[in-house]
Amino acid sequence: MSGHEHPSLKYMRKEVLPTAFCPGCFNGIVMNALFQAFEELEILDLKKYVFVSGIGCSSWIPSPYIKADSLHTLHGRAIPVATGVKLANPDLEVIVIGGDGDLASIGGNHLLHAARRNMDLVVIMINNLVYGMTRGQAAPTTPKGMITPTTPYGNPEEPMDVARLLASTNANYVAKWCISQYMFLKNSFKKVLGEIKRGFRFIEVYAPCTTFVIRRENKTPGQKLKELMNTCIGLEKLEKMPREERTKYIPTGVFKENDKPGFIDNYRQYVSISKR
Amino acid sequence: MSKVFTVEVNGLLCKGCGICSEICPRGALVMDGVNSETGYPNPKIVGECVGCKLCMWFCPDQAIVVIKKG
Repeated sequence: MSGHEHPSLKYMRKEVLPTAFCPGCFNGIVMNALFQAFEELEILDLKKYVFVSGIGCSSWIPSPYIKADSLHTLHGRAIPVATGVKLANPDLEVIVIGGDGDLASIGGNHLLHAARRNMDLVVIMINNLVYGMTRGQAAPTTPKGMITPTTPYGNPEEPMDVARLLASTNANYVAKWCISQYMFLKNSFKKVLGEIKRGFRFIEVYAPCTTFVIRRENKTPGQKLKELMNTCIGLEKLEKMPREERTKYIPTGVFKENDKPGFIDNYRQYVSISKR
Repeated sequence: MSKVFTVEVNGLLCKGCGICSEICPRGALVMDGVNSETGYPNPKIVGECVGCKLCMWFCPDQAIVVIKKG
């Protein structure tokens, strides 16, 4: 070793490395994108940031690995805890990192209603398509026909499109990116951390589970990453295609973007009216 | 062969997933041998590195770093 280290490592707790993720797990790439966004915004000290996570593989990202204050809460309850943190001290920027099983299935209602209230949070949902931590059972985001331990003949249910669901609510920013679209993902993180500073900002990352999705397809993580570069395409490009062909692709892009006042601004206005 | 860039691998962090060798546009990285401390294969540079840093940003274990010589 001659002193060169990965640029992400300055935001990480080096004493707990190597990470507990499986070899090739895409969670680490999401971390790289997040830290590169922080680096490009010239935020070197994460004292003003609080990371909240629930239970799941991707909830491990903030809890031991990010060198910042973090709360590892109950399964699915990351958003209520984050709401409490934000309301207790609105100066802090609260970032929720969780998986699809944590945020969209057990915590689905919390996610929906935090978006409806336009709560001032950044929510990063890493969609790995299954319940990865409990050995890959079918989740609400599992595609139809996928073989999992609980659906050995192929999943009979249609998946839920979380990004489109939240785009229908009052959220300020909703985007979905594939893990292969690293630069778009990083620019999206930069946008929600540096530009849009209020309201509910949601970024979904499509990152199939290495162990329970990719290995079942007899692929290596690198081969899947290359394949995703072709299957994930932008919303505009998708709309020009014939309807039958659209199901083969994964739509990515910015679903919604505006800068409306968030819950805290609205609540302060409400309090000022009540005191009149 | 003028080598401006090269890579350095932290063998203790690398888990040998092979994303770097798969993603390298020049095919300059190959998975080689077994690290005696971790038991995972580590990447080794065999071709010319052009410094695109794809391997660095796509490394899930923060083990590989692209450095500029001189």
